[in-house]
Parts: sequence; structure tokens; C-alpha cells
Amino acid sequence: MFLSRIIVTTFSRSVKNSNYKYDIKLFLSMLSSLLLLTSFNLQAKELFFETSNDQFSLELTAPESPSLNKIYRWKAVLKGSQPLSQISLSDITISGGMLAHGHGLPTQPKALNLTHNNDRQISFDIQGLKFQMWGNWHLQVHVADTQAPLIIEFNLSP
Amino acid sequence: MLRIIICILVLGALGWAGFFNRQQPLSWSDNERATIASLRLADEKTLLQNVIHTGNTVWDDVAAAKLGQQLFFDNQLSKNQAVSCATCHQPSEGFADPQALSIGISTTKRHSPSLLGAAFSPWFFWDGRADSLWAQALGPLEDPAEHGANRLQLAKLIATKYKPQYQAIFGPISDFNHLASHATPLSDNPLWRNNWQRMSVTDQDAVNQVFANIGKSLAAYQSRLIPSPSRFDKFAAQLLTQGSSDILNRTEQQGLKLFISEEKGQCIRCHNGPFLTNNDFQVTGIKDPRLPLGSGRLEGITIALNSEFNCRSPYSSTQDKDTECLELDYAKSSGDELNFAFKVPTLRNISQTAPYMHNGSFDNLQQVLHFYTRAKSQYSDTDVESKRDTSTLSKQSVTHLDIEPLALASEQLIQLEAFLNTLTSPINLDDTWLKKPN
Ligand code: HEC
Ligand code: HEC
Repeated sequence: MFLSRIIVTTFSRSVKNSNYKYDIKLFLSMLSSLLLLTSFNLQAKELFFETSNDQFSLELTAPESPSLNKIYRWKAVLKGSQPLSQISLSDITISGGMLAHGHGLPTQPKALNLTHNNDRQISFDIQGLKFQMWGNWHLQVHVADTQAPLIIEFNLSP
Repeated sequence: MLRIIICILVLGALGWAGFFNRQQPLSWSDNERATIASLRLADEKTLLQNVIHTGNTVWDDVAAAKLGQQLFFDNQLSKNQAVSCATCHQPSEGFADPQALSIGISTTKRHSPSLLGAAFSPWFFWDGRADSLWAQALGPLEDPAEHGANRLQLAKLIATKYKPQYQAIFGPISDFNHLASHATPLSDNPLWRNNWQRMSVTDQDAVNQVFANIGKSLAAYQSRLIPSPSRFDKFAAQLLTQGSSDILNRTEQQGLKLFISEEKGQCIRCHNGPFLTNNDFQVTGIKDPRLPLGSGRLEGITIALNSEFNCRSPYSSTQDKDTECLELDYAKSSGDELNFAFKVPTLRNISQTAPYMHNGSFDNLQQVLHFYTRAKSQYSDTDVESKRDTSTLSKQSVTHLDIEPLALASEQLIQLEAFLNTLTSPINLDDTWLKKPN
């Protein structure tokens, strides 16, 4: 998403500053719409979620917008109001499900590849996510022995 | 008099409304269209890209499929020389069989599922105890109620009867002449087990390798069992390109609408994707009177995780287990939701594969649909009581149910059934593939 924004801004700038002839401008504007189109697709594919509670904020990125019955790996960035240097993989549990249907996730996803980016920020992967039905889902990330999980909600539709 | 006139007018208006209603083509929302698109069979090339061929590098090899076809129909792969895969997966019966419980050497515990589109699932058997199509095939071969054979007997058969074909695909094979006639670690026959234990690790491994390759050839054959577009697929194609279609009649279209409705039919929750299954395990509460309680995915996943032929095993041809065994590595293996959960079956060619459910307990689609309107667990409280005494399963374990009673009128059940019947089509293969080869 970030990437696509850069493309759009740099490109509009170059068009503004240009003093090319009309047909070149036309060509450029066609090119720009092409680029816009690609960036739009990029945006449609990648999904981004944000949530927080009193202790943490969590950003989740799904590299492609999920479909049914496939296994996915999502990226997570966790920021804390307190130092996170003590957090390890075994402190992170992932759960979720469909409230309306009264069931959980069909798989048991796990946190992998934890990196301490700095004192108050870690990033990790959530591997093994799968959704087997269309509809409203929630995903919970529970960190160590804190009370409230971090929850994101989304709708999967065909 | 006035009353009579009013009556006539009202009836007339109702009649008109009914008439119009009947004539208007059904309208489909964007979401409904997208859902219909997700149920369509893609073209063959796209479909083949979605085959799940965990640990099987010969899955799309024609020679392997041909060998697989020979093995599929060969009675010699059995204890009594009279059972083959085709005994219970008959091409003329949608690759299932008409018995409630399949019969091989003796009567099995479950109903034989259709093999159409089997290659698109990550899990096999009603309880998901195999994590690949090739590992699945090894089960019936050694099951005393099915083929009742043993892996050494089978490896010897391959080394004699099928030697050239096998070697062309998998390379050199030993003749196993220095070994006994029968051996397997999995048998209630003490002689066969004993023979296995007396074999060297190298010999055991060589036999296991041939055994696994039998499974991989059978999987290559079964990966080709894909249906051609059904009337539903043709309807969907026309609806999506031209905006409307009458390839399905009104009743069938109304059935489709119910099927994909999250509130009304709810079928789409589990029966989704081009094979109308999420290949997951759900609790419908269908009870198995002949089986001890506690079966289902909970048992199946435990077996799969410990299987000597699972994705993590040396017999699974994988390059990187960490990326190719995700289904096994991230499978849910505990919790109420797995208790009595069975695999959601495909509904492709469903009109050909009666009786239905894992225990074959429903003779026809009307009975299945009637069950969904009641949706009550067939496990009663007394079962819970007796189970609590004899097993470790907790009381809550039978209370999880993935379906809800549906408020459907009998007319709607007729519509749903009409829709299910539009999912039947011939297999997209030359007839020579669908019978015992010469
Ligand atoms: C005696 C009857 C019988 C024979 C013989 C038999 N099967 Fe089956 N098959 C069944 C039954 C019953 C099931 C379901 C068993 C269960 O889930 O516990 C099944 C399940 C399967 C499945 C799983 C399908 C799915 O969607 O989960 C496949 C694939 C399969 N059989 C292929 C084969 C092959 C290949 C052979 C020959 C090596 C074979 N079967 C021999 C009866 C039989
Ligand atoms: C919660 C998931 C779920 C929902 C919702 C659901 N099914 Fe099923 N369906 C299953 C499972 C699981 C089985 C196998 C159950 C068993 O054998 O114990 C099954 C079996 C069937 C079968 C028998 C298939 C066979 O080969 O034996 C038919 C037909 C069927 N369902 C149709 C429907 C229809 C029509 C609807 C909607 C009215 C529906 N299902 C809703 C999960 C579901």
C-alpha cells in the first residue's frame, strides 16, 4: 500500500513539472492511469488491520486478500507502552473464529520468526491461518499473561 | 354482491401477481453472483493447478496414472484375489458404491465416498486420518475388512507383474526373493507381524518405498477423476456473462438461491468452492450406531499426526517440509469441535452416489434434506452418560453442533433437491480410463 502511494505521488509530480508536448503528455497520462490501475490492484490484494488496547497496538498485514480453504501467513507488528524485550514466541497465542456460527478457526495458527525491532516493538509472522466459510471472522492475538486479547474483525465474501 | 365482486377482484389481483412472479426471471444480487462464480468448475487447466499433490512428484505423470489405473482395477492386490479399489469405488456409481457400508473381505465400518475431485482435498477419509491422496490408498490395501493384503505381498506383486511399468517411473526395484511371502507391521495376523519384525531395516525401508509408490500411482490415476461442466456450471457461465440464463429451470434456480443463502439454506457455509466442499470437518450430529463413540476428526487427526506415511515422513517426496506440510503442521488437534466431526463431502454427482453420509444412513436426498430441517444431534444424553463412564471425552464434547435447524417449507426442500440434481455430469475423461485396462 505504501509502495503504491509512492508511485502515485512521484508520478504526478513528474507530470506537473514536465513541459513536454501534448502527445507525450497524453502518453504519460495513459501510462499514469496504467500505473494507477496496478497500484489499485496492489491495494486490493494486500490487507491491513490495526487494533490496540491499553498495553499494546497491533498491525496485521495479509499479503494477499484471503480466499477460502487455503493456508496463509500474515505479518504482525506489535508495539507496547511498556518494553517488550521479554516477549518470546511462546508468549503469543492466536485464536479466532466466527461468532455468528459459534465455532473457532479450522486450524491452529502459530507465531513464528519473532524479531525485536527495538525496545518497544516486535514483529513476527502468524503462520497456518485458514478460513473455511464466507462471513464475519475475528482473530485474537493474546500476548503473555495480559488480560485482554487484541482483536481484529473482518468479513470474507466471494 | 359487493363482497363477491371484491373477492373476485382480490383473487384476480393475486392471480396476476402470481403470474407475474412466475414469469419474471429470478434476480441475483452482486454477492449472489460472486458466490455462484466461486462454485463454478474452472477450465481443466486452471483446475489442475489447484490439485493438492502433497509429497507426490508423479501426480500428473501419465505413465504413473496408467499404472495407477491398472492397480485400481486389479483384484490381485488383495488377500482373497477378489477385491480391488473398484469393488467399492465403482465407475458406474460415481466412484462410490450403493451399499450403506462397503463390503470388501468383510463389511467395513463406513460408507464409501465418491472419488470425484478427491485430489482437491488436503485430507482424506471421513475422519481425515490421511494427509495425502497417496497415503490414503495405503489404508484400504492393508485393512483386513477391505483388501486385507500386506505390503510385502504387494511389493512382490509389483516386482513381478508390474516390473517394467514401475521401473520406468520409479527406477530399479528389488525382487524381494530373499524375504517371506507376507509381512507388515500393521496387522492382527501375528505371522505377518513377526515376519516384518525379522526383516532388516533396509528391507523394511525398500518395501515401504514400493508400497508408498503404489499409493502415488493410484493417486496419479485418481487425480484425473474430474467431472466435466454440469448443467449448473453452464447456467453459471451464462448468468455471469449474459446477465441471465434459463439453463436451470425456476425451481432449480430457487434451490440454488436457498443453497447459497447464509440465512435460509446455509449449505454454502460448508459446501463451498468448485467441489461444493470446504474439505473441513464439521459436526452434523449424524450418529454411527455401529461405531464406538468418540470417532470423527478428533481420532483422525491423531492417527494422521502419527502416520508412518504422513507429509513429515521420509516417504513423502517433499523438498521443504516446513513449507509443504502446512496442513499437517497447523492442523487443529484438540477441542470439542473435532469430536464427531466428519469431512464435508463433495456434492458433485451427488444424485449418483446414494446412500448418503459417512454411515450410509440416508437412502435418498429427501432424507438428507429433512435431516437438515431438524438438525438435532443424534447423540442423546444417555450416550453422554455412558461415554463419561467409559472414555475420557468430556460431557460438552457432544454438545458442539455446526448446523442449525432450518425453517424450510416442503416446497423449498423440493427446490434444494432439484438444484442438487443439476450438479451431475460425466467424468471429463476418455472411457478407456474408466474401466479395467486390457
Ligand atoms: C471394501 C471397500 C473399499 C475398498 C476395497 C477401497 N475403498 Fe476407498 N473407501 C472405502 C470407504 C468405506 C471409505 C471411507 C472410509 C473412512 O472414512 O473410514 C473409503 C475412502 C476412500 C478415499 C477417501 C475419499 C475422501 O474424500 O476422503 C479414497 C481416496 C479412497 N477410498 C480410495 C481408494 C483406493 C485408491 C482404493 C484401492 C487401493 C480403495 N479406496 C479401496 C471403501 C473402500
Ligand atoms: C456445518 C456444515 C454443513 C452445512 C451447513 C451443511 N452440510 Fe451437508 N454435510 C456436511 C457434513 C460434515 C456432511 C457429512 C456428514 C456425515 O457423514 O456425518 C454432509 C453431508 C451432506 C450430504 C450427503 C453427501 C454424501 O455424499 O453422503 C448432502 C447431500 C448434503 N450434506 C447437503 C447439504 C445441503 C443441501 C445443505 C444445506 C441445506 C447442507 N448440506 C448443509 C456439512 C454441512
